[in-house]
Amino acid sequence: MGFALEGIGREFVAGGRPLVALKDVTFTARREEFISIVGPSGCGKTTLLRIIAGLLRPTTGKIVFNGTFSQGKLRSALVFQEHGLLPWCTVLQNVALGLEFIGVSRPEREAKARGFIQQVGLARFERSYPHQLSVGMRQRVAIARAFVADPEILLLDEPFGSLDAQTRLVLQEEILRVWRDHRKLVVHVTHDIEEAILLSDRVLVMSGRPGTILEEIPVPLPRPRDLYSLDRPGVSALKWHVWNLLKSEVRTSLGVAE
Amino acid sequence: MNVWRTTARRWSKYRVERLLPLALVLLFLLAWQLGVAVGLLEPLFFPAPTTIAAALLESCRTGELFTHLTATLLRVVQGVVLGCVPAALLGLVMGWSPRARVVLDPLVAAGHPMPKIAILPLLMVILGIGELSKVVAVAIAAFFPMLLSSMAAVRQISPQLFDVARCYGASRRQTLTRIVVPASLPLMLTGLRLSINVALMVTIAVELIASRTGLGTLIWLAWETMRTEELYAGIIVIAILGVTFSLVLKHAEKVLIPWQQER
Repeated sequence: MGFALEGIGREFVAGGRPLVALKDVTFTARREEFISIVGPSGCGKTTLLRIIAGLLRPTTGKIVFNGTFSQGKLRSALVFQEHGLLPWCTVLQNVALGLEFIGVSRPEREAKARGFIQQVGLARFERSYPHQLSVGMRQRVAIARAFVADPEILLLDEPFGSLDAQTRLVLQEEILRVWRDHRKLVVHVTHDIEEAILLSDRVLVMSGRPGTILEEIPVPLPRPRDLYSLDRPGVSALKWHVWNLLKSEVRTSLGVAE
Repeated sequence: MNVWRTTARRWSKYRVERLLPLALVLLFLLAWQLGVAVGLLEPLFFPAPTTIAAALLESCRTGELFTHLTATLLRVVQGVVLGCVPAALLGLVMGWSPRARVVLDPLVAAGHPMPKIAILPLLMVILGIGELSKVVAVAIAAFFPMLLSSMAAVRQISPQLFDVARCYGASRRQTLTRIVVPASLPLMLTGLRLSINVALMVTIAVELIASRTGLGTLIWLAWETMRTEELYAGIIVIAILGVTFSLVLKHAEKVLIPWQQER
């Protein structure tokens, strides 16, 4: 399943004044593709993901899903930046949540959830509550939950944003591995340029507010990838290219003159 | 298990600090006893702690105390159940639906500050002078704190949790059972605690003015016959009752909310 955004715009009213968060966002996403969106803080990346997730209506434009809908399958699942877990559910219950909501029987959903919990190395914490886990562990649970729900489209909203640099590297590799085994369309929002290049087939660079797509950059790195993929020739040129696009946007969003 | 272990750890951590209030109370009682013994305190107003204890024991022995205690306890429990169950449900609805809030908020605002004891005579006219009017007065008093807490409980739920529910395809019922109820539970228990306090207060007040049984009555009879030691005994029993409620609730909190971070 893929989708196409056609001229998506979104306005908010903030303090009585209209605020344009997104303007004319247009791109297509193909099935089993990994797309990363990078942009300065406050450029509307999260708003865009919420529109794709169906949590928010666009003010203008439309979103067209193509491909067949499987019955009883979620169209999309969102991994939130943090706090997306239910504090009153154990790790097992949290991971099985998506399946519970679509009515999968308890033994079946717990068996599936256990498989993924094992894959992200949390088997010992199955019965723990989120507050008993570290931030990194919680984010792994959130990722496992999204994959277990097996949606057509997986949406990641800066899933590693609140992690320390080392945990982040481990989780980046982990998501590469899990995605290799469970291919699906992923739309990933980040402000880490290297992370975007490492994970994606295409990087979409967004401008500052109002957010719009400045450029689509294909990443020609072969798969399967791991952290060493970033050592390949061409990566550094790609990185600087993205940064040059972003630099002035970031400065503007900070209110710094060129 | 976990709960017990942490409790044990906390007990050992502040052992001295925890014993201090007990020591202070003992010191106070000792001073009181001495004060009466040397004639510094008038025993009619301030009977010696030992006299009060004797009155308490005597009341236990004859069973009089338990008759009154049971009557009070029954009214509090009935009133709390009768008041809090609808309050919790209505609070959930009002917290969830802005429309319901717009309609009901003014009514709540009008009803809440009303001293509930003031409606007792009216209730007695309508419902008779039996148990029912008393329990209903207690229930009305218990209703409001629970309603307000339950409503606030729903409104403080992080919007992100509703996003999670929506994005993972939860039905309205699943959102209620999986998100709204568990997320509201901590504040609702706080509401229950407030309700029980108010219920106890109103129960005693009702008994002071319109009852033949209950701890309030016990106190009133003691005042009328100038048996001060029984007056004190009654107050002590009421205080113990209040503390017991609070302890039971604290424990219930640990059992019902195992995900709560230990603080």
